[in-house]
Amino acid sequence: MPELDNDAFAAWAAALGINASREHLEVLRREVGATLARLEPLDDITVDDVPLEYALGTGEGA
Amino acid sequence: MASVSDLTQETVAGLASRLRAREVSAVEVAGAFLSRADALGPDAHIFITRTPELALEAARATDARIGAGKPLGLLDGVPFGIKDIMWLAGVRCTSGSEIEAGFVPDRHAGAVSRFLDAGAVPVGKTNTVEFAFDPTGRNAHYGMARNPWGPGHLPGGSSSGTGAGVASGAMPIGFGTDTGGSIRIPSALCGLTGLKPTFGLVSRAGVTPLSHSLDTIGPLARSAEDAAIAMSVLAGHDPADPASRPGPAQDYLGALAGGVRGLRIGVPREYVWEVMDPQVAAAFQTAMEVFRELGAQVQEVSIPQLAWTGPLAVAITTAEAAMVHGPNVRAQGERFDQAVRRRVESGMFISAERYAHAQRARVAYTRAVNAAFAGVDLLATPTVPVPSPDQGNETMTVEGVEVPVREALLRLTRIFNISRLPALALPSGFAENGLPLSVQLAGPAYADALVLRAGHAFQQATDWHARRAP
Repeated sequence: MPELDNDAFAAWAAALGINASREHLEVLRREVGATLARLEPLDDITVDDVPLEYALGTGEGA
Repeated sequence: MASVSDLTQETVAGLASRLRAREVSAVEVAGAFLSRADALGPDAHIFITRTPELALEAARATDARIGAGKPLGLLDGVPFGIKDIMWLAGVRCTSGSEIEAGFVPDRHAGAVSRFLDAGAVPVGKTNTVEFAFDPTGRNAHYGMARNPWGPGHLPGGSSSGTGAGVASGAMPIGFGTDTGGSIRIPSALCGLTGLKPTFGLVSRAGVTPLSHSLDTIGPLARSAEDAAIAMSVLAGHDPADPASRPGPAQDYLGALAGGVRGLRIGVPREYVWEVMDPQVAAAFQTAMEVFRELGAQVQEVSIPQLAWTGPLAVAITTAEAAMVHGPNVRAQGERFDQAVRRRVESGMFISAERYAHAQRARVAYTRAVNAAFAGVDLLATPTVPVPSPDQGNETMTVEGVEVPVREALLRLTRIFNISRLPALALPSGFAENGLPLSVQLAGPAYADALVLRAGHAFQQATDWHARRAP
């Protein structure tokens, strides 16, 4: 996640429909940052041999 | 006449046998478990809603069938608990939340129906983490179920009430759901045997979803044999669940006597051992020695893709939880446990592209785990890498590695949610502080009966599962 200040994060959250107190958003910003950082290793996984419909449709992975 | 404590210590198999022999009536059995729940009291936080009238009504029906010489179901007269995210018609289903506290379903969950049709006796709706979205067992609204092995320690979750309830003698068996370990973690922390079946094998109709591509339903019990009895009743197609895929028929009970001689058990080399309490590791090695003595071959296997476990589980579960619970969080966020609320909200920030990528990576991960089964029949790991943590801690240090308690609890069970394979938690000893330890056995898809067979063989050679909480 790009480094976002509280105001930028609050705008992003509001666009997603999250309207909450400043205190809540501050805690959430840290949690979202940690969650998205945790997902970064997924970007290194090659999935070319897994057709999308296998994973999200009716194939072996669905 | 059997004493209350005598009956509440029994297995499902033992109760069924005593009922059929007319040594005890179903009403007496139900009364014993209801009395035990009374004695445990509300502070045990095992139940969100108790159903003593329904229990006695079902027990009387069993006694009438026995009296009339009618055929009995496999679970006739056996009390059971229902995790409170599963529907029992006419009884509120809170999903562990304040928001759903007034919801009363008009029909049973598919799995609950199967238990009732087999004659089982519902003693109540058991405590759960809010919307089953946490492995600790914490619940801000209904309290945390008390782990009878260590009241200051976590019961594990999210099926916390069923875990604590079976371990405390409030029921001999009960339902859990498992998206990242929610059957196996409380089983491990409460000294029980718990099966997460192959994805699609047990109906999820009438169950509050958390992560639709990973959610499963299964039993928490006192033995692999009891779990096999439950699976004999539960497995099968349900058109009401779009993910229902029963696969080839399995003879859960008939398979139990097969033993493990000649089976090959693989122990993953990577990932599993990176966070590991030495007591858990020692108990695991002792368990593998038992399997060797029983004639199995234990060997190392390599699955480097296990390193993807955490990121995959977080991406899929968190995004899918937001799909389900996002609207409620947006409208009524203040009414959620705030930790659960933030977890759901975090999922809203995961893009569709990243979610789709994670699902494709999940298939690649599953192929890698399945490839390991080319050389072995079963995989084994500890179920949880630590004994039950203290209730007050958010992080813990394991052999010098500081980890969040949630991550420690989930890291090994998640492997078989992502790969959608059957996995069984088995008691495998005790830590120095008296808390239970557990080993996890997993098999290929639809090899649930094989996994239970190996678990049963282990339990014929050990008595960890027969120990009862003080």
